[in-house]
Amino acid sequence: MSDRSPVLVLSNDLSLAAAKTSRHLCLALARLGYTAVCRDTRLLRWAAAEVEKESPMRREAYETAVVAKWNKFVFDYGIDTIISLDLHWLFSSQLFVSDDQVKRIHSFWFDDLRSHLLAAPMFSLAPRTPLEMMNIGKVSHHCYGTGQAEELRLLGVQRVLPSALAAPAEYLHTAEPCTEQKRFAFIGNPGLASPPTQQALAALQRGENLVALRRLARQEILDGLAAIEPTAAWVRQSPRVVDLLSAATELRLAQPHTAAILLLTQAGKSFPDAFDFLNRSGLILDAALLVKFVNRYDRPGLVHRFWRRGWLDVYGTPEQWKPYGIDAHPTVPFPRLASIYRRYPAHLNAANCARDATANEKLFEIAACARVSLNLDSPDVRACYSQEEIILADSDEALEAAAERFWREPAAAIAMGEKAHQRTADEHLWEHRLGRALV
Amino acid sequence: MKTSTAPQGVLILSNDFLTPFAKTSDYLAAALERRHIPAYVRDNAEARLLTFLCSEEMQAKTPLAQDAVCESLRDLIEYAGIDTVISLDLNWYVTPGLLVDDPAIRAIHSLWFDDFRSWCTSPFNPSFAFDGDVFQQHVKHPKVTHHFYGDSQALEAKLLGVTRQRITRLAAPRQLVQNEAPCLRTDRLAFIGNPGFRGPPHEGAIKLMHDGAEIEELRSYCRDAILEHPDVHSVKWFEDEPTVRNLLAVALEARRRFPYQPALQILQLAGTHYPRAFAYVNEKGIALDVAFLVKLVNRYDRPAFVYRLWKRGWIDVYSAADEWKPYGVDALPYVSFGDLPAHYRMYAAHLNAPNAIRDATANEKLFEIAASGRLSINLDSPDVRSCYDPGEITLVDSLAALEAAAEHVLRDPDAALACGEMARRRSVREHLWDHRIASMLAESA
Repeated sequence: MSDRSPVLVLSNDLSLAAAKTSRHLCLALARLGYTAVCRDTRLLRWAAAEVEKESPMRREAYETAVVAKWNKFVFDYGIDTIISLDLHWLFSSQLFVSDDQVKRIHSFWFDDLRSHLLAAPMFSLAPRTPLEMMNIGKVSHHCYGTGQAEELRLLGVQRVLPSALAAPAEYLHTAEPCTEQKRFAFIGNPGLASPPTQQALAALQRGENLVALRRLARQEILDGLAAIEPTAAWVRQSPRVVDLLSAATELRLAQPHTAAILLLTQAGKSFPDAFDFLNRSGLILDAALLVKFVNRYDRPGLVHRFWRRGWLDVYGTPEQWKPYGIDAHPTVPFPRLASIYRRYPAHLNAANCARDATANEKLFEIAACARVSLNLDSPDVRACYSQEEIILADSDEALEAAAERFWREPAAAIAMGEKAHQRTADEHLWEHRLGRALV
Repeated sequence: MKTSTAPQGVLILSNDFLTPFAKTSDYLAAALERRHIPAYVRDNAEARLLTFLCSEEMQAKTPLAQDAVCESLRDLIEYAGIDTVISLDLNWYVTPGLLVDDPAIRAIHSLWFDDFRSWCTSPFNPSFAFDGDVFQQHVKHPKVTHHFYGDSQALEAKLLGVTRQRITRLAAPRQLVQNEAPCLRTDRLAFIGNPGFRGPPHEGAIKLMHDGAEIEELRSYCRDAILEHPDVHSVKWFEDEPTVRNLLAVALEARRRFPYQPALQILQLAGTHYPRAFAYVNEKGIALDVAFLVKLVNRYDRPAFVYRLWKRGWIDVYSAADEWKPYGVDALPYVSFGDLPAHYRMYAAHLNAPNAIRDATANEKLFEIAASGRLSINLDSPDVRSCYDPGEITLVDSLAALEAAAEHVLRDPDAALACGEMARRRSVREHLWDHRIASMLAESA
């Protein structure tokens, strides 16, 4: 019997991945001897926004009712630690951060800072600013990517800790056979929801490599700067923004896995007025996102390359893949994920370009299921697995060559997957992350 | 272990406004996960708050709000492969278009923790307005099985037309049987809980308790007080149809004599003598309100139980200090869920008494104390007797017997601890949430 205080895990079902991960976090906490309870925020967020819009005079009363409910919950359970997969929870001047019983809040960043700040807070933060809320002493910020962490630090967020994602221990014990020996799989969406340009689609269909696709993406960014709002307004106010972004995106071509905000800062030394304009206008994160978009075709490019070879089964949102000319199977529900991982000898894995974090959850889940993942080489991924355990390729051509070897010899993929499985069991389960975070 | 007919995913619907629901929801989830069945606990407190807002300034938003409530679960049901729902709060599944109509949902288990009247009279039940037929269709839908933890509670529901029902006793979480914290207090017993019915006690009842009255006298007092000091509703009923008073008088006397017979059944039987009154009660839709008054014959069972030992200086009472004060009992602070196991283990024996308004006496504490390897002293009732035998727990039928049992515990705490061990073994065999989940799922399969 544990004498550890219960932990509250806060999720948001609007992001179904968070619903899945929060359940795995609870199971891992239970194995570590904690009592863990999980609750969701989706409806609360919706209602808070509606109250704000439709009945602002009720806002205070509504917030009071919500806070009272949660204070009672925390009190009755004796909760002293909160793990939040949804920062919004912290964003009430009365909720959790002000509750003396709650000693520690671990905020796991699954999203990037810009997306977070663009979403309206649940309740008014006044008199505090978002940054003040984030920097309250009991809150630690866990980032799964070095670029993501760097971005937070540069923007003044304190207590930023690197904390790679991980796999659920349950996946270690799955036993379904590998029945699709001559195929690979990709599970996921294209990344950005917006469809590719005609030019990009043509490049994908011609089989252009990632270097060319990144150049193309960069050119699209620069062409749109003066032509499309809101960036056109930036250019009107500070014309040298074009030079700044041209330099930053050029740097991104050479360093595709370096934090976009670092590249922007570096380029800003040559164009201080433009950098100062973006900084003072609160546009730095928007500009950094444009820099990240240099990589926007990385994931679709890799998927397309394998698809053209007839090797790949894609699982995701079919409507999002259709503009790329790819017929995807429907999204895999959580209970079937592990068996789909096990069904194939190898899985293509590629990061979401918006995050500046490349070691995504799939990296660990595929490994936990004893299958090999095919990745582009990046510092985040390399920090977690070696070349004996996963494929780390420095180009899409190299990745295709590695896949071809596995296509000819699936047993080699399975053997590599076994090594990844062992490494995961030793180092990359949620227990490992939580054990460190909750010390 | 998970079998081929086991659910793929279970959604447990709670209501965190009532944290004991929340706690039990989490115990159920843990029991499911031990069977390798993914379980997701979701709370409806925010949906209820939303209902409130929609009844006021945001009325025009009601359809949108209802859609938001449904959508908030629909995606999870799809992606988490949910095919089974365990609902601790009717509000959820009687939301039209939500669970009952979803083809992915194969079974809904509705666990009744409250009585029918409380549910029907709570504000904003159901979550969104619809007519009575829709409610009946949902409650009687073939996917829905109603689980009652008390025999009388089940009978009450049956009399009200709830057909697909079964008795599913409450239970204990597995972690309690693994707790080996020492027994630190052998000089006192404990009671953890509030007095039950929240209304202020009658002065006469307090005086009786202070004078050492027996439980029978207190029940007689309640019987008379309900008739002599009727509330505003009763006054109106008596004016409209004077024989209602006679009906109630007979029912109250019957309850005094048979304190564990379902109040509604008693009322129905009494109705055979006063058909006009019973017809009035039915027509006015007040059968549950009248039955509630009948249940109140037992309202001082729990306070009297506690007070008797308090007066002797033999008991520590925890929680709801404000509610205990009118009874002359100084309660210690509330025990958080996390601290409950240690508090159960701290004492060799605990008092246990049901909440008068539920018509179900085998409450969660009965099982939790037993799973903790500690003795509980209970009023003898069929529900409790069907779960544990004498030797595992103590069953008494009077306050004098209670006092004697407590004295025995204080003189020979080792004997109490030995009984507690027997109760723990029985709990491990039969009374964990894991057992309840197993039988629920077996039925679904």
